[in-house]
Amino acid sequence: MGKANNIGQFEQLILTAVLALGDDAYGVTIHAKAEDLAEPKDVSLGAVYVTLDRLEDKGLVSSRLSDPTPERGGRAKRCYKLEALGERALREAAITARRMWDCSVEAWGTEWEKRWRKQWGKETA
Amino acid sequence: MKNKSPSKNIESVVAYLIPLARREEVLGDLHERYRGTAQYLLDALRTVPHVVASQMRRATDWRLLIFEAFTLYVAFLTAPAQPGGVSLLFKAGTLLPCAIPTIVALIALRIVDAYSRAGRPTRITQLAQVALAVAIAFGVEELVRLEDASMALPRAVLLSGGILGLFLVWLVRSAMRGSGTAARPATPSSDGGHAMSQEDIQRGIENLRATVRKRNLVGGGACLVVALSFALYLFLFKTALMRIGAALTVASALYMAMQILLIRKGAKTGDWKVSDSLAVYRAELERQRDFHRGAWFWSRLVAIVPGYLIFFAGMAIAFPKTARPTAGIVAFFIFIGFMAVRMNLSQARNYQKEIDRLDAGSNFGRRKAP
Repeated sequence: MGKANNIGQFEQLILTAVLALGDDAYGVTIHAKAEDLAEPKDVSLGAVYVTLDRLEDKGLVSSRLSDPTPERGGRAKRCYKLEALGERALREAAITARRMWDCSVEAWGTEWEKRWRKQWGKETA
Repeated sequence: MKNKSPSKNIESVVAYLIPLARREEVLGDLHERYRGTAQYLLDALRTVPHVVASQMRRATDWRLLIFEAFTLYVAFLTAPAQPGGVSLLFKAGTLLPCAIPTIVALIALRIVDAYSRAGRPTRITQLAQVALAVAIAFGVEELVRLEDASMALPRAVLLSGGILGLFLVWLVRSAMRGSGTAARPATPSSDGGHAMSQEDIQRGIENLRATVRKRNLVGGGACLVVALSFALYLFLFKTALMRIGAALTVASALYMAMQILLIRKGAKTGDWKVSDSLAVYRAELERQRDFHRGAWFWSRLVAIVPGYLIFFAGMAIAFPKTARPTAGIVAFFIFIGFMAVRMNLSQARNYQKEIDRLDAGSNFGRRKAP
């Protein structure tokens, strides 16, 4: 795997947020989505910008300025889009996470898995 | 009724703190998240430093940073306290005090770069930017002097080293930043190349010549400074080894200047016809490519290394107290040598790419007509 695809956990989080938001991915929405995904951890807006810049430099996402809108004080949004390289990196990260999950279940047993699935069910309800 | 947007004054202050390249979207995002003045200020306070740091990283050219660091450090280290006096290089315990203004100026330059407008700044702007960074370094040095005078450089050294460093860093930045070599390709041709119009080619030639002229000026100036400095050392130092080293260095600097004048500058082509422009452009590109690779380039490197090594070896033997800083300087020179090799070869590759692009678009040169 090339260096560009070597992404950290927070970068995975931001890429996932960009993927989930589709055409509506810009600073505020990406931050909100990242906070949802990272719960209970806090995510700062500044860290989101830094990570988006890094992902853009790596060619995993691309950005463009939208038209200015009145609710933003006449300022434009910088909208982000997942690039093919980013999709590949995210897919590989998801596969790795899946393998880690399977390995954990194998080590800690199915009871632990059931307890976690129940916990997630509560959280998402 | 509660105001749904931040006050114009506060927003202006925040806007001023955000680097220009990111101002639009960050201000918009902060505006959209506005729930009250305190929340807005806290949000801005937590966000802006990240944005500045990220922009500093993005605006940093690591090769330029290394050259600037070396230039500034050597300027402070070699600046004499008085005309004809001895520099700090020959005194013990001066390595760290010289590093403080260097580091401060480098950080200031990175911040200045982060806040700069996109595109290549003019020479005057670049000079002003470097002057600002050096002035900040002077200010911090005065604060250091208040805290611990032994860690601060003497004012005379700070001044002479600062002025020398300012001009050298300005030259380095002028030479290394935004080295566009050619006109942007116009229309993609059917064979995947780019058809360049006469205007594109002429603009390419002009750009190339302007870049080469600027680099020749900097390179020639650097050769002159090196030759004059080492010619002076030839008379200042009495040890045979240092004199041999100095003489070899003077000779190598003159050899380099000769290459710049005779090879890189090239023949005058003021009387070429418009129809010849493609051939002229290609020939210019080939000449510049050959300057950065092959026998001419390696002979320059081979010429300059022995003189430096002999000179510094002589210095370490003649002034044993300076052996450690001298070893450091030699190590840095070797590192700079590696960087120079990489940069030159990369530059040669860029010229070759431009030649290939030209050939692909015009069926010129190696490509044969069907």
